[in-house]
Amino acid sequence: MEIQRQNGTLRVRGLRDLNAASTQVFREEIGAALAPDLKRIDIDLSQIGFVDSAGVGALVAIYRTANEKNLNGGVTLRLMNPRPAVQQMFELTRLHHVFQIVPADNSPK
Amino acid sequence: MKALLICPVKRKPVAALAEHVPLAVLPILGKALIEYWLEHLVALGARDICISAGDRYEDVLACVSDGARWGLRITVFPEIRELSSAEARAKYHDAGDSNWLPAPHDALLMDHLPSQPEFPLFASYAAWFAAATNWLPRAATPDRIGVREIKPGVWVGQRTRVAASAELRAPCWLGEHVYIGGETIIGPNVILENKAFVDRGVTVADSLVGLETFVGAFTEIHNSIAWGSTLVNWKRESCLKVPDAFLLCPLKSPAPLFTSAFQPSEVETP
Repeated sequence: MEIQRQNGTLRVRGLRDLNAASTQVFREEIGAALAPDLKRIDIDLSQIGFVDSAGVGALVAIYRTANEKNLNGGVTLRLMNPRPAVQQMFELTRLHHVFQIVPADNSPK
Repeated sequence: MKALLICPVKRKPVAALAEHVPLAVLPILGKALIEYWLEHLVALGARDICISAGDRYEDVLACVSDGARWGLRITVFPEIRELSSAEARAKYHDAGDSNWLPAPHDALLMDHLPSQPEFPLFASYAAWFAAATNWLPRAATPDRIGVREIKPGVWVGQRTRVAASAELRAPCWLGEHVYIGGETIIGPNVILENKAFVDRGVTVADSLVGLETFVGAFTEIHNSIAWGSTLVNWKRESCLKVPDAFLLCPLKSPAPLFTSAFQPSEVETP
């Protein structure tokens, strides 16, 4: 997993799993990179083929922590390039109303 | 009069639908596809029906039995593949027997609902959903016991329980023994097959929830076919196996591990 911070945006790439087995490392590594001046978190999901409720919970936890630490108002969390089945999981759990989902064609939904 | 029904075999564009039962037996608004066809053939005057079953013959046989329920005499024949109408005629029509319904009713492939050939069922998930929703006003025929239209465009089956705080938006169909929890929004364009259980706070629109399917609290189902733990977005043609049962799962018990021919008591322990 590659984490890069630039101009108030935290970019997460190279994520391969987001399930019960991998969420602890995910939460710890991203949690350590959260800063009070953060405005946006972009998580690239293009390599992930499967997300379960633990993975969904980890994203919610990151989002809440980022907003608790933030000094300048809300932090936006964008889920970049999810595969259709992964996007369905976010829609089923209503998280597409909370997170911004940016499909591979780059049109925000 | 005689007629021949040809069961569709598995179709790649709607593979998830045929996962547990053959397409001919798949419920549409509370009845198997083949039941609609048998009723149609009865109305045309058929009394003797041959059924060519190229996929899970025993499930088709279990659904129709001997046909006495419709006043028919039914014989189900197993096939190793789906026959075309011409092949089926050549195989099943006896030479010189004029007692068959006139073509094309003599050999019918069940790839659409009766009198609805413009809505092919198995071309895609979107096609399946379009055919089912188009059939919705025609499904509640006067001879159908128990289904009532509680307000324009909202049909509810027997022993279905709807919480007072639930909102039903027409058109929608709630089958028999369906449970709808509080604060739910059902519709428009929703079909809930028999024994679907929709927990509290759920939103379902432009979707179909399958037979004996549990939909977990506060979930949202849009443009989808939810059947057991399978969630198909018919608009995007994408398919998800939901891993968490509290979100979406089948209510029906899995098939028994042991058949009557092999009971647990027969297992020898060393």
